[in-house]
Amino acid sequence: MAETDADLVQLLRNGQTAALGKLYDRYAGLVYGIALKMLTNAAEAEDLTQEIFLILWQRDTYQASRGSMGSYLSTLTRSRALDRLRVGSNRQRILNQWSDDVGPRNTTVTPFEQASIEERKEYVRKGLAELPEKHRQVLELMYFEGLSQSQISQRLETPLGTVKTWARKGLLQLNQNLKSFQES
Amino acid sequence: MTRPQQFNPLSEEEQELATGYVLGDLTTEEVTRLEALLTENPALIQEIHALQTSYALMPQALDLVEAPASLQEKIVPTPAVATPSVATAPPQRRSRRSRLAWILTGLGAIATLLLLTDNLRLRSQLRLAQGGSPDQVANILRQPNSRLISLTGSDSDAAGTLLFTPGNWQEVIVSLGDLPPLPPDEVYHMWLQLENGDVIYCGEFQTGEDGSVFVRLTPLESPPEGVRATELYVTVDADEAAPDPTGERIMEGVI
Repeated sequence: MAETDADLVQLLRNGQTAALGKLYDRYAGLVYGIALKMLTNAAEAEDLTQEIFLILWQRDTYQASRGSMGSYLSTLTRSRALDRLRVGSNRQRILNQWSDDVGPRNTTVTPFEQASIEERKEYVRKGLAELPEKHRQVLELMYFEGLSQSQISQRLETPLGTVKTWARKGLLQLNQNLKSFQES
Repeated sequence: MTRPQQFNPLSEEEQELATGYVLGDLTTEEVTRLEALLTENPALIQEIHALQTSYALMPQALDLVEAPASLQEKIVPTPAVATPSVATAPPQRRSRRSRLAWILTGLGAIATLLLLTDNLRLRSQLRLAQGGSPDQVANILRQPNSRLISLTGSDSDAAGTLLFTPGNWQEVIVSLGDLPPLPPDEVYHMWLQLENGDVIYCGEFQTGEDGSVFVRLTPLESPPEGVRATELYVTVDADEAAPDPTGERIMEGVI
């Protein structure tokens, strides 16, 4: 039976560095893909990927009870990428999305979180594809480019209130779509 | 306020505020309102966590991009470079080892650490080491047995490394980040704890405004022959005061 991510993290904590190789095999494509999309530079993306796996090993801040390794690495990669893009003001808020900032979290990891990377990719793709185009576009500009809603308003030449509505409705619907996939 | 949806215990207002919170677009008034609602409805907290999770999942829709093979070699340790731990080292070999070899014993995969941290940023930062010329830093990095010891904050996110060459404790390069910046009249001190209870003073440093420091230290003492070093740590003292090895530990690193 394949080792879970939590198993591998525990092995890494025990000094078995081979576990890092297995985590790398599972998640390098995800981390590098996010880094490349956000930084649009292969050398920078490689450098960031190294940094992320260094943090995973040396800082040891991943907690399996709080979510999947994929979500953790995605959030961390995005935060560090935005830092490099000098969108620093958003960084703490982004990190808060991983930390427990509003209250105790239900520690039950959902089946969705435990799904394979390929399965999650399919679910999230469907969830995003079902959003109205503008809603999805605003969410992606916020997520991948770290743009504020004011900046998006200017870029899309759309009133700020409308951008805000698109973003909120988009995230609400994405959340509902992902919930329905889990329940189906 | 109504809670009309049987499948969702949240009102429309609560959903709006939860979404705005996750997206970071709430006004001051909305934050105040959300804080009040959070105390009334625990389900709102779970909704915020669910929205955060969904938002964080967005990049997982991206196509996986195969990272260059050379990157894996830089990140993933190879068995050949992993060093044995204290427990696996035959005791009879200890006396034949140089004194500084024991600073490294138990760290495990030290060469791997060097590989792992061999990234563009660290190298460029090391080149900027205060008080150390690029040649001095490069000389240490070029040594095949250069070693890195990791340090982490005792009560903070501070983290970093100490780079040195075994056999030459008189020159070490320290690269730390996320330390609390100090007032001008205070400094950080670095110490090397030995197994016999002695402590060796390694030097002092200040951080930049961002809490990072890259500095070359030149300890006046080295561990005595046969005495193993067990840990490194950092304290803080007033600039004018004599360094105190018993002060509060800001960072530590097990050797």
